[in-house]
Amino acid sequence: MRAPLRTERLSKTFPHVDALRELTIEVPEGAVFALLGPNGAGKTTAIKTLLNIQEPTSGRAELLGVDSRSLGAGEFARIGYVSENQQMPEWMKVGYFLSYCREFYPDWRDEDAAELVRVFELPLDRRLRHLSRGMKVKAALASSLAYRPKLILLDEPFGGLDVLVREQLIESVLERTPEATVFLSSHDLSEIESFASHVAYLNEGRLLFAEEMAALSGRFCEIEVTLGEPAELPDDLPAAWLNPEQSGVVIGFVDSQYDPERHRADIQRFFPGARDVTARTMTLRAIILAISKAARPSQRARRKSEVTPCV
Amino acid sequence: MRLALHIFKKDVRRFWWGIAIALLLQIAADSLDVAANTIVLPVPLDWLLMVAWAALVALAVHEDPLVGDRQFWITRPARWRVLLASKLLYALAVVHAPSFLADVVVLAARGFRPWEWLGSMLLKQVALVAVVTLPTIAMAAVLRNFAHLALAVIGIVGLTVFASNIVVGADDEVRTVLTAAVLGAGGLAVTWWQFARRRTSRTRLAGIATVAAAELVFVSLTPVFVARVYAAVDPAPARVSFHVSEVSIAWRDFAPYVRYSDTAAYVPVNVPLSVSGIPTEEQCLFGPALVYVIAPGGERMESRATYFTREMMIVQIPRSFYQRFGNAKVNLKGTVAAVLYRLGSTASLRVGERRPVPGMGRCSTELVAIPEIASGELHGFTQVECESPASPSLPGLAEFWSADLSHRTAQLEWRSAGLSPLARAMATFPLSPGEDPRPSGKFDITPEIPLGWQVVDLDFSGLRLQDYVLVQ
Repeated sequence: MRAPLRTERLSKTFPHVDALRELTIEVPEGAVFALLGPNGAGKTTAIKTLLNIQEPTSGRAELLGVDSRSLGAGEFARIGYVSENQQMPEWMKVGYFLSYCREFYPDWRDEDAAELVRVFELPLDRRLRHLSRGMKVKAALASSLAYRPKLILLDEPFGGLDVLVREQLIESVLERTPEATVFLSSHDLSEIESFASHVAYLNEGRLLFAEEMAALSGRFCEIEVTLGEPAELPDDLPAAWLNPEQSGVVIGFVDSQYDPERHRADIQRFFPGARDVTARTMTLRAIILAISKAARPSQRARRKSEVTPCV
Repeated sequence: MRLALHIFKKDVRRFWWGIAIALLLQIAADSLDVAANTIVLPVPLDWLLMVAWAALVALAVHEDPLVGDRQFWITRPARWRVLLASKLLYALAVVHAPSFLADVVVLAARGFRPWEWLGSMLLKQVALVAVVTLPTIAMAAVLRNFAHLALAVIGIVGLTVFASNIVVGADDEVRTVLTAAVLGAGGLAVTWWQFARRRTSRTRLAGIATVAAAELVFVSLTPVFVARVYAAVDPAPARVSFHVSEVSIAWRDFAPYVRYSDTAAYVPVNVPLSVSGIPTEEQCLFGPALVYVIAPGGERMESRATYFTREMMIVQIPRSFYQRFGNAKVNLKGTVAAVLYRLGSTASLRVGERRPVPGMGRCSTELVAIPEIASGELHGFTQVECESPASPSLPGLAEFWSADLSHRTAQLEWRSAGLSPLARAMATFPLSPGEDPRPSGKFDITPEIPLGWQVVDLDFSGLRLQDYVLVQ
């Protein structure tokens, strides 16, 4: 089965800014794929390029088996898209807005729309301009889910929403899987962790990693080694050990390729006098922070020089 | 088509109030047009209507904006052709259908058979498409909001007013048609490109190029070029030529024509002419003449003839040029546009009569009387008014015969009245106190029927300017 969304060295350059650099990802069918990254990382550009709202500078993207540049009405009828900063027809009442959207989709289901209106408690006779931000996102989401899209793209959909509304929206989206594939961008790591099946991280337009959530959580471990007596931190530590830091007899680092057997042997090799080794699982937030920190060599060097005098 | 209709219905629902205002303006303009027996129509109402149309079309395009990347509609399954079709349908319904219907009503109400004038009514709609609809859609498609569009329109109108002021006789049909064609074609290209590709920077450049090209066409067409186009389309059946006449003309006879000359800077020179090639039963009317005076040694001086008839032409010569070459033998070359015409059959109308006059549409005459309160006598004027959907290119002649058989003549100059489907011409004849023209007064109306155009080359050699000078 072909992946419903895949990109190959997809790049987008604006004058003086490389917003997206050779992004290559593949989103499996039925996945909830979260594209993470700080503000300005290129997440929105990636989604807009995927949807042919912006033309890629190089590389290619494929949605539902069709090149993004050739997306037509047939494909858009199977794609749902909600963005935090979408310009809505604010003059429309919610009821008219939904009935207006209805005509565009051959697969529109009135019972789904009615159910979404009920769950989201949408006021049908209120104009969009008079709705709160959360309600507007709900209306947009209702208009994008009622035709049971095969691919749902959400660009920072939950930003600025209260917890209850977020939960409602997330639940509604998850109910569509695995029939639908979800691709969403966010810079809020904690909310993603609870429901994303796949995760990718974008920083300054560059993809740092993209993999299954379970595999990511499994291979990242926070390690703390307590030595018998103070010793110099070796220079040739494995590359997979990120952000090593030393404080007296305690050495801490993040193992990004954690494997209990191999790990034990490596500890013995680099720290023969280790008295105690603790391995802790990491939250997505902690993993991302570790990767981001490791991606900045100057900061790493500075940190090392800062700790050296304490040894 | 179903989706185009769906988007169209949404736009109508959104702007029903604006459409209602435009329709009210249309009804008001047409009521005045239907009732008018004078050519003084409230043109500002027509301008308001055009502004309302442009605003409505622009608002509808901005309802589904093409500039930007945050629009709600761009990821909805509607092809760009559907969106464009919906906006064109909207323009058709809001601008062109009411305007066409209004023309039918006005023509029928003024005694014409609308189906006989279907061609000219459709042509008017094509002109509206080229000048109003397409440029408005194109501008709205490449500009972010209504304020930007309003500023752009003000800029373009300002540029056009400026251009009109620097072009002599800017109201000729060729100039108008070519400018409208450039605007329409450019508007269509920009609209198509922006709807299909949404490459705003590039289409904006194309839009600016269109406006520049239209303005360039507007200002750069010379009267001679315009005349050549007319001559190519409708050539004159005879060959007109000019020679310098031996008859001398005293400057005093032409004092009115040189009265406003800047005689400090220019020396008015009157060259007597004789014309040949005009058949006896035909008449000839001359347009502005472009003249070059070529001095011995090849120095050229370009000027326009400020007055040109079949008997003479008056040319303003810069004083410095005259001082150097006034006594020398110079060559005079140039061109003048000529239209040959004949007088049609004369129709007589009594005061208060209204009927068709061949070549002049429908004409009516009336007495506009102002009773003198003191004497109880009538005092006022009579007038003749003709109206025609054909907008004749040449004026007609109106002769008013008083009861005492004295008569006065006036020209019936055709004028288009705003958006009216009728061109109108009017002449008035003041009455003496107490004069009542109703019992036996009559009007004779004679159309001037154009036969064709010719651009006549002027080539006179060996002239001494000093021999023809009007005022030293």
